[in-house]
Amino acid sequence: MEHKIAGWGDRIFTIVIYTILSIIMLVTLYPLIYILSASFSDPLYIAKGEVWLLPKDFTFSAYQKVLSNADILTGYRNSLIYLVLGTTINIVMTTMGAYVLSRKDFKGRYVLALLFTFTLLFNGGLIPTYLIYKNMLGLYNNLWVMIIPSAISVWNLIIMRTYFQNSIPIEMQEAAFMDGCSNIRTLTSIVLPLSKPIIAVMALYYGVAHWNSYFTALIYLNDHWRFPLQMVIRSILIQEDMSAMAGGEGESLMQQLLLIEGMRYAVIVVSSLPMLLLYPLVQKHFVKGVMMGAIKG
Amino acid sequence: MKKIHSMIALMLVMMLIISACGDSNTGDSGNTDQEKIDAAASNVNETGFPIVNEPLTLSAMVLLSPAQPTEWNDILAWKEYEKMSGIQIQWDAYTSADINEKRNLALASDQLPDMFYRTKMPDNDIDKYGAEGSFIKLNDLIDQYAPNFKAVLEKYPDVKKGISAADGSIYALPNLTDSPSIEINRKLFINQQWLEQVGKKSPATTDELYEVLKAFRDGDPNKNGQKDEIPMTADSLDEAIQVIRGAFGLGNRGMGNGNWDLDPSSESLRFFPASQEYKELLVYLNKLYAEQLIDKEIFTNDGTKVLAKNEQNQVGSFSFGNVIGRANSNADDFVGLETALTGPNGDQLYTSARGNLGSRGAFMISKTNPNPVATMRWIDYFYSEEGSRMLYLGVEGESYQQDKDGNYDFLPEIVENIPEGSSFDQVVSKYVPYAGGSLPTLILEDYFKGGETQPSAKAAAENLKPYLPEELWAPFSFTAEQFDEKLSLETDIYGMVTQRTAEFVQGKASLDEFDNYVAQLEKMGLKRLQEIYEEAYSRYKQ
Amino acid sequence: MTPGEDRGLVKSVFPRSVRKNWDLYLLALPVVAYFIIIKYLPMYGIQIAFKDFSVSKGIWDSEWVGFKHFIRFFNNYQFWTLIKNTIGISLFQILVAFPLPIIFALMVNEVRTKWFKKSIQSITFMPHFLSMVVLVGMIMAFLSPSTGLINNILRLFGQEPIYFMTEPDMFKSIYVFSDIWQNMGFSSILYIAVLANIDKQLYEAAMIDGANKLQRLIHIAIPCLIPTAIIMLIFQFGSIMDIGFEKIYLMQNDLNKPSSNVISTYVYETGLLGSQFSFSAAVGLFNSVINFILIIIVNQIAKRVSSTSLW
Repeated sequence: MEHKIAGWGDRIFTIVIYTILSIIMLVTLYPLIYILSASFSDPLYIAKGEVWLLPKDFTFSAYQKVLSNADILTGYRNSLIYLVLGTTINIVMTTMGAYVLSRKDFKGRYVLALLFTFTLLFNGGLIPTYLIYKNMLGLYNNLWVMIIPSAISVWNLIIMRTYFQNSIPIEMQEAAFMDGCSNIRTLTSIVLPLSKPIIAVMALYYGVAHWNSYFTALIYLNDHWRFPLQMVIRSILIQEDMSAMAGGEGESLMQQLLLIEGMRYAVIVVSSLPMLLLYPLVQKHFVKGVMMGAIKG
Repeated sequence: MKKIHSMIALMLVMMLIISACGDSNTGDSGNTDQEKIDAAASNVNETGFPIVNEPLTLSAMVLLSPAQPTEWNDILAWKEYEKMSGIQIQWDAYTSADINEKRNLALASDQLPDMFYRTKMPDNDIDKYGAEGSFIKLNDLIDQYAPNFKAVLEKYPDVKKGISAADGSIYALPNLTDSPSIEINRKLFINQQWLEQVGKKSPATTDELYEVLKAFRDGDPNKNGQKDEIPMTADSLDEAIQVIRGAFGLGNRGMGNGNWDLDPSSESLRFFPASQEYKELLVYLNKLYAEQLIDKEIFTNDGTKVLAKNEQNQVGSFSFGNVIGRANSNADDFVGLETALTGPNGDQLYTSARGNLGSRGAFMISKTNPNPVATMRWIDYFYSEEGSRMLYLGVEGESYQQDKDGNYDFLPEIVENIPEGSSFDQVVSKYVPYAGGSLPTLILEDYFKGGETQPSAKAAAENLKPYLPEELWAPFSFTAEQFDEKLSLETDIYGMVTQRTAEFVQGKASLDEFDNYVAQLEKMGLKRLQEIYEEAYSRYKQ
Repeated sequence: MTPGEDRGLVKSVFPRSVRKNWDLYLLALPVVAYFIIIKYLPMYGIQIAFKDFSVSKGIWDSEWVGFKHFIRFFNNYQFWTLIKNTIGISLFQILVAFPLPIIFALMVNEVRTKWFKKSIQSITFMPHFLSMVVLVGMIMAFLSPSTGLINNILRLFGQEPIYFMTEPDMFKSIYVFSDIWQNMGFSSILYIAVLANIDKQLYEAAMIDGANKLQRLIHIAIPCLIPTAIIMLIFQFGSIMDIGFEKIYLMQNDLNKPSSNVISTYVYETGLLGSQFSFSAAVGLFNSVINFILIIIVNQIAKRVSSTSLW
């Protein structure tokens, strides 16, 4: 009898949970579908607010425009370069720092950790930083400025350090030292092979940050052919300053605005795609990495 | 805890050490502007073209309109002018989303391009960085090397006052216009189809406007059976206020100094957003808003939205510089006001206007410019008729022609075959750089083919012209000592005005609180700001 | 010099621990160099908060003015609004956006249908990858009073449309709930992973005792999540003064400013856009100092509670 009641209760419980989750799924999904539909619709209907679920007046023209836009294509190429090169350097640098910090027998790790954390909170401000980067370090209007200043994120460093401490037993490393391995050798042959999950996490965190960032480019890049995709998108997505155009000279804005409106959603789709594709690639390791990086085992 | 203390100490020491090896560059103070001028002058021909004998390359920062090619030198007019002048320009072009950051960064870090060409430079920054020495003082250069600009200054006497700093220095060349239609910044356009539909005539007073808008709201003038009419809209609340405020006697010296005009009774300087008349204006607008006569979305509107509403024939009236910019398929329905509105106190004034001065800071020469003389001669050409024509029409035979009656226009094969998906601006931007506006030049109606010279906008301007203030102020100038104080006072006070105005109109704040709001402004230092402005005004009057 | 002597010299200069781990120092070197050059070097610029920065004089030779800019900020009429908004948005965020991923994870953990579990996870993940510009554009479109979906639904029920973006009272909710939409799925990964690692035997024992699903959730799953949740919570409190600039800035307009003006947007507005560099540096520095104090406190608490800490 008792068992039966429990079973009945369980069934309600399950139904409630499935219902709530289905609602969450729909709420999450709908805006995404909207963007997709809008990207295939005639821009006039979007401006009028008549696109709701399915594309209205189905057309590929927005994508044709996006893919024939030279700025977007160069931006895409640049972003991919910054993404791949930047993330590689991120992972190498973060691994080095995190490994050192994870070693309890390393003198000075307390000092270093504090030295690093301090930079989370204090910075020199935009103008002084700009002057140092540009005039002293030559980090200006080149590939390196997109990569070097963001080489390490302190939060990620801490996450990776925690992972090393949690999931790679120091005894294993000590055994390697006994066999005469150096620290670097131990890192590359013992620690790293066990670190796929955290590297997946780092790749995703850093990758997303690289892909979505534009502020560095805004400040430090001059040449349009070096602009990452987000810079190009920004000028398409953010409304043109109308008052500037209305200073006495503006002509048939309608076509121009509809053009922008029409490209907007296709641009969103095209620009978000690489990140959506990146995730499944690293998903397998990702979940484990997040867990071991965040909590003390 | 002790450990933390020592850590912080260590960190501070580190910063100090690092600081000590930083650069303590004091900048080059040896070269005065005059020496530099003399040194470079030898390469320059005093008159005629080419300007320089040896090729010269200069860098320039510029605002890029989305219609234009990202490589500015691809524009026909620039190719032609480079051939003519012998000066090659290296354009650093930025879109309007980026230009403010880029310009401020260049100025604040003292990493200057050779010149600033249409960079949305705020008036405050012209004086501030001029006084700091970032820009070259242009008075002598204008005198010696800019015959065209000098002629312009003589022809339009109000311009000189407007472009000079408090001590008479000129640091920037302006954007100038000679066209009432452009100088009347915002005009109210009313849907004539709708007027006919509801049987009203064009309003002549604020009360009539109210009645017309109400009729628009209730009479279903777009005949779709729905109550979806928006009687009045604009890109922003401010632009709606601009077309109405004159009827309340506000802004009675034009837009040259923003929120400042003359108190009609005492003839003394007035900050009008703190005046009783402003309260009356707010009461009126609040009434319109509460009765759904003003677009509910006006606080978050933009050009696209106004256009989209017009495409659906939902708009009864809107405020903009021209019709074509905000209405497309129903553009012919819109006509400007027949006369300036008369307000409740009998004011019949139209104050959304300025003088010939479009914007002050259209062009500046940096202190690091290697050849200011050549630069001045380079820019001076565009204050002549031929120069202006080149900027607005390009090259004769290649992009424009003159017809039998002497009218200028683009070649028909250029403007009559606009490919699908392109706009007029995009097509002509291959030949001329004017898209985006505010170029350092003198705009003449004969050459300008933008929306403001369309018949509807021109006619609207003609109707309003008799009601413009008799005097339209140019912007005042301020002394270097006053900038910082003025700027910080203005940031707070103007921010407060914008915010409270929106709240009053929306009805979020009751108008009984108006006195509170004025008291708040006083507390924020309005008196001090008034003093600064009065000082500037007395200088201006001289 | 013989090798032996050489070694002796090294011995006397470097302590044993350093010699043993010499290559660890080698690994640390580029990282330390990075922080010193890229992060610490520009910090000489902090001094402009105490100076009247002038371009012609440069950072070093501008005049010292002491705490002038700080005093101006403290006396500014916006001071308390800024503090209130900054902390208010953060607290609201913690209150609402923090527990939801946990609840979500608990629910997902109950799902036995494989394809359903998989699809709900991958779908709720996706929004995380949208950039801020895109997200805010979507918010505006959906909340538009004339064409937005939400108001169209309200109209169906005979309600007056609501002007979400201009309503100061709505700002915090819009900010927080759009954040939940974007990040709930992503934040829940951690909790889902913890739940997946719970010993199956615990559940089996509970089932034998006759516990139903809800009881199992309350007595097994939730207790297992608590330690992780506490750590996450503590660190959220540590960054209370540090809310994202970009999203708020993009969502701001004149009417919602009374509740959307926060320290980070104010710094940007007065600094890079308003050219009041010294003042803006002072405001930024004030914020950093508060953050610094907060994070030290939080770190101490974290150490006590869980032995996880930043340093």
